[in-house]
Amino acid sequence: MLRYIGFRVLQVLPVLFVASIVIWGMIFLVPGDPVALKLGPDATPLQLESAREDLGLNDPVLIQYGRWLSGVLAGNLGISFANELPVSSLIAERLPATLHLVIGTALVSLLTSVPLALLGVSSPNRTLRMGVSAYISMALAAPSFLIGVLLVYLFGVNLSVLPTGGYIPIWEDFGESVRHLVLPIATMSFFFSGLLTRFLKSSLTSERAAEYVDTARSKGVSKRQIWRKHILRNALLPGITIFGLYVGTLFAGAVITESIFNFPGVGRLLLDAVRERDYPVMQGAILLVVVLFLVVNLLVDVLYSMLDPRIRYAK
Amino acid sequence: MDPLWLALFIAFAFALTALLAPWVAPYDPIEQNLSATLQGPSWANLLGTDHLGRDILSRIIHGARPTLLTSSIAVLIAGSLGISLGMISGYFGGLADALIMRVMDFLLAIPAILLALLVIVILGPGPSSAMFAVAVVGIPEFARLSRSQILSLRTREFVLASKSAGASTTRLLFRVLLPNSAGPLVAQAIVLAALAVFLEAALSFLGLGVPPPDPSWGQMVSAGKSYLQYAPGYSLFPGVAIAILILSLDVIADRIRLHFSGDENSITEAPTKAA
Repeated sequence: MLRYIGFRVLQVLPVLFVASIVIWGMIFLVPGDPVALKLGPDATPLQLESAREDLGLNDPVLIQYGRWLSGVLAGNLGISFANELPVSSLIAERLPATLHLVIGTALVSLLTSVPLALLGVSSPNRTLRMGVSAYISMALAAPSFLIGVLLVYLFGVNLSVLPTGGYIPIWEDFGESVRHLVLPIATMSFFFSGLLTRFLKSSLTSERAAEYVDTARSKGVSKRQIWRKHILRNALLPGITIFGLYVGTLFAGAVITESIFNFPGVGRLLLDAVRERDYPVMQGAILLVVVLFLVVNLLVDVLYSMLDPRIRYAK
Repeated sequence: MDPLWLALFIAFAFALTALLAPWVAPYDPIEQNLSATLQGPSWANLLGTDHLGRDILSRIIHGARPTLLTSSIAVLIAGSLGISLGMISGYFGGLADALIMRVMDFLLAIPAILLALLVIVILGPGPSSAMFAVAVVGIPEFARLSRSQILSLRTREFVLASKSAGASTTRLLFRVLLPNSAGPLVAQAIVLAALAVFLEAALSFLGLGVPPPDPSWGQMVSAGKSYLQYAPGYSLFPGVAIAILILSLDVIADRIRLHFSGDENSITEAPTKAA
């Protein structure tokens, strides 16, 4: 088990290394001079030069990268161009909001996709099965911003029953927090649950045709038991991988959802930084999303290998 | 009726509308009429007007152009670069293979919308940046797919036969291996086209694509959001146009994939669209 975990960690490191170089090097690829951008149009060449010296931009590239990396590892992500605050505290302030959104979406999607997939495969009612298929197609085709705007229109504007923006931490006021989270989470879950349902449905369909199902049936195991003990268990396993892979992408998808609902999370922070060309904040936010994505994937893979020993021994 | 025909018809109709936009659209898409703002659908304006009195239908018709142009060019760039890299990787192997595939692994490890944002940051916001952003997102999947195709084909008898008949490397790659791996690659191109439509619209929605006043779908959805209580169609109609286009592309891609794999339940690649 430990060997497998070590093996997977070793696989993640090169990706993280390349990511760190790209994210750090981004600042050299962008058009224009970031120092000039930081100091504004009135800066004299002398001021620019001394700022460059202060920021260490005249040092050799490798030294600059090493300095940046050791800073990042110590939790120092630099200072925002826009408001002179440390990037790490800006991110720390916004991360809880995004975590509310991502964890909520993951839970809702998980709880809805399993019953939907089961309905879609095993329901005797043909209309119901087709309904599930139609939902999957729509979930995968409708862009999240359309769903978000539609929900704002239906529940915020038309029925005025739910707030259409803002965020309240769950530990401050549980009821209000949930009310503010319903629409953003519904927006993200509409797609995510559809994706999981599609995967689970095809996984259930192929497991149902497996030989062990015939064996169990010929032994006289009840239909209910076959579904619960055999088919569902085996079909859910690969679902975990897909789940982990896409939970990671939710952090990136939050950029769109947070901008629809004026939700003060990391996605908004990143988007505002892109608009204001606030490079240190961009670097920090992108690095965070990539690291979260990789860590979630790693955790899910390890969890998967605990549940299914075949994975461990195949390596 | 087979939904494939409907999907093909819709995709074709969208393409034709975009191509003929100046002749098909009833009004000039940027002409303002401040005496008739935020109107609901009527015979004069079939889908109503926006907050500057511009005709929404005309703006949707013209808005199809940046979306379709960006998406098709992005798919072409991603396809030609990705397939070339994949063929080099698969055919020559060794160091080139290792290097190319590690870079592709990295690109695949970053969620699509984030990768697109990264490209936008480097190139600056605008329609051509959005196009390159979508292309970069598409490259790794093409590379991976064409590499695996080459790997599975290169030891087949007909390939060995042309090799022993003295075919050059170029001929082997482009006349023998490429045509025989075309099916899955075409399916992937359509999958990417659907993703490209979404990404272009999403970037415009975030204000990083087509700049106003030129119409684009994503930007209309975003601008209309402030007027939902007066004219919901301003935001919702262009959004529905995006969804219909993506849905038809999905149907076409699924069918091509089914044709080549022959297994209704094989999901070779889950979509990379971010929630």
